[in-house]
Amino acid sequence: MLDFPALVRRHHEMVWRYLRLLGCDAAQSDDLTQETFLAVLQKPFEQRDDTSTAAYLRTVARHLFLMAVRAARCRPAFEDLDAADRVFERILADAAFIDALRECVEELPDPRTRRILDLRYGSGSSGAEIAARLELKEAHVNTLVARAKESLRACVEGKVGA
Amino acid sequence: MNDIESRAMDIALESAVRRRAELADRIIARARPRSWFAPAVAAACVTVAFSAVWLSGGSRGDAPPAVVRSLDDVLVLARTTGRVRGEGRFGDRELAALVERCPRLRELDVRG
Repeated sequence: MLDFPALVRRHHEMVWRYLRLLGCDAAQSDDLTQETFLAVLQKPFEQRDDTSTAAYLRTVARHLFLMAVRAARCRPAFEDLDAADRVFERILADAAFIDALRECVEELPDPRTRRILDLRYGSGSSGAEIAARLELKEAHVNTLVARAKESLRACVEGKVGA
Repeated sequence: MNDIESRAMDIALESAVRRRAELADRIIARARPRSWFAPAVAAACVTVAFSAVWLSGGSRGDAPPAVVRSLDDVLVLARTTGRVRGEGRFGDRELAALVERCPRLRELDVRG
């Protein structure tokens, strides 16, 4: 029998990240993640291993995303969704990558960079808003974010060998 | 990094910085009532709630679409509708009176 709560807790963040990558904003991803799991509830599937379950959920999510695009609720971030799928597999599918990234953020030596990342990715503040709040130039904020992303990518690869 | 990889890193950072456990709770809570809750009862409760709002000065025509699964939902629905009309007079006391008139609403609370 389908253990729905366990299924949701295990995979909801993965589905959310997938929808974000395809082009949804955070709120749209929330909505379509819910719809993905409710669709699974209405038409249960045979759960095999974790990988095939995740692949099935992504198939459902992608179908719902394309329906949302047709209804003008979402806009694709990229023309080539298959290329996005491949990047997703490499970077976003594995929770270990996210856990390692979380560690890397905590290990950043510069507290100001951590603060900027928190404002950008935790609160959703724009570069201009962060610049005004921290009394920096917007271009400088954007440079710090870009550098941080590069160094975090290297840090994560060192931890998980991505 | 190309465009897709850069966006993927942004999303990974969103996930890393902000945990989304509350989303799982919402999905599970939203799914639970559907397995047992008869749509007809939900529809009846919405009708009763809309009527109560209308009687207290709101308008059924302004009511937002909603699925009612608990007494809290009824209260939110009624208050929202009242606010749309600038009334906002549907409070806890009105809700208690509504439950008195519609025992099925109490059933909602027990099961929800």
